[in-house]
Amino acid sequence: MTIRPTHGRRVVGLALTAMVMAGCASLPEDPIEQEIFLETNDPLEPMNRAVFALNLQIDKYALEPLAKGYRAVTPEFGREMVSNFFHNLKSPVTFVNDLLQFELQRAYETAARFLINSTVGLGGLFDIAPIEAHDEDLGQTFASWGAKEGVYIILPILGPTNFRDLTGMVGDRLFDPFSYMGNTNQAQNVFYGRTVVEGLNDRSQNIEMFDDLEQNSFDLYATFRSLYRQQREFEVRNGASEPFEAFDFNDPEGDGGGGGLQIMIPGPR
Amino acid sequence: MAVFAATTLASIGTTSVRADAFAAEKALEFIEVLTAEALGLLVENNPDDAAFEEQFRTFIMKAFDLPFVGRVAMGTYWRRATPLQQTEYQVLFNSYIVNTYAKKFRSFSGEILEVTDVIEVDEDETIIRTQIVLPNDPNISVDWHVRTGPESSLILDIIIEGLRLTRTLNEEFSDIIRVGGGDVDVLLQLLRDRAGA
Repeated sequence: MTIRPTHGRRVVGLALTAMVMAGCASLPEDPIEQEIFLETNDPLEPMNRAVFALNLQIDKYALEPLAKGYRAVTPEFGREMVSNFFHNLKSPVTFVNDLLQFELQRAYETAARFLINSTVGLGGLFDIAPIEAHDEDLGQTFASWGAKEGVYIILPILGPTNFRDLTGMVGDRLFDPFSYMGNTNQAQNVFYGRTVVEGLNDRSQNIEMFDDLEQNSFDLYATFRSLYRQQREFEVRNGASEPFEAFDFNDPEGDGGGGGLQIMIPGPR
Repeated sequence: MAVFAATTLASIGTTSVRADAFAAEKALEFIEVLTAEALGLLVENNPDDAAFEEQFRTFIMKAFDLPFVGRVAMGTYWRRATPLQQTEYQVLFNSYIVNTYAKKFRSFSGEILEVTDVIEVDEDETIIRTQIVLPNDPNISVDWHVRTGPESSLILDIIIEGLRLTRTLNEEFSDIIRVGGGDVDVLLQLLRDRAGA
């Protein structure tokens, strides 16, 4: 049986396309603006800013109060157990991605951690494996294969991502045992329930950091974008430092061809 | 004199290497002294906010090459700014950094900073890689980009867990100016408001 898009679907598709088009910024004429435009990798900025503003409202009225409530009623060791539990559940996804990146040592570490924590660690509630934890996802795997990040995208509720990581996020579900729990309503509820609790738990860990950013930054959107991109680059490098470069003292601001940071002499690693 | 010139010429091949090592050594010493001083500031724990901020300002000005960091933060728009705007920006930028970080700095409780590596970037720039050791959480990696001049050293940049101070500032500041239609004064006004608050 072939599935044809119904009329309704086509309308939704058209509406989405129109939204994206309307949310697109075109390449500016001014040379400096052009440089920043290319560097920030955010042609969807007008739409992204709108979604970001919406997310902030959702956060302010729902997510943050819930996260604060959750933190108030759950003792620290309880929250740590929740974190451990969800982190352990991600192990299969990390494991497959370790393999896809040909990181055999790291794949072994992930598997060993999963076995130890799932058994002796009582189903992952306790992180007792004497091995340092790490995460991998398909977005990082694509990056290790040489894929560029693609345009920056802000998703409703889920927050910042980019074309590469979004594709990865969809693909990662294939490696997630939860996806194979069947298509019943109950399985769906478990899946969404997990996402909600996990999101809440994550948010509760970032209350101070988020408040701090909100208080100190002039343009929260731009700061978030910068931090998200730098963090993803750091994760792709598996926490290794970037190749350090000397600053160009004759041109600290960078010329038209360069970035905000200057490249002169590639430093030793 | 001639002998001196001859030996200098003969050793030119090796001097640059020695100069590197010298700069790196100086940079490491500089970070160690700063860490001790920072700890001193925290231990002293001046209850008077204004007095603490003044102490912190002196400390920051001595530790960072703020005129440089400020220029990198504004990015390419620096060249569009008038000399008057540039001067005002530098003053405002200094107080922005001091105000933003004074509060954060006070929340530290003297965590241990361990030096993990020293990387020579070029003859006068060095990266001092450190870890903040936390008892119950994973360590935090902090890299200090230091430039050593003939007289003294100064910090050009800090990288915390892969997040670079200059890049974060630059991507925020240049976007503010860009969204404001390329007018440097839009950023200056925000900094003025913050300084006045």
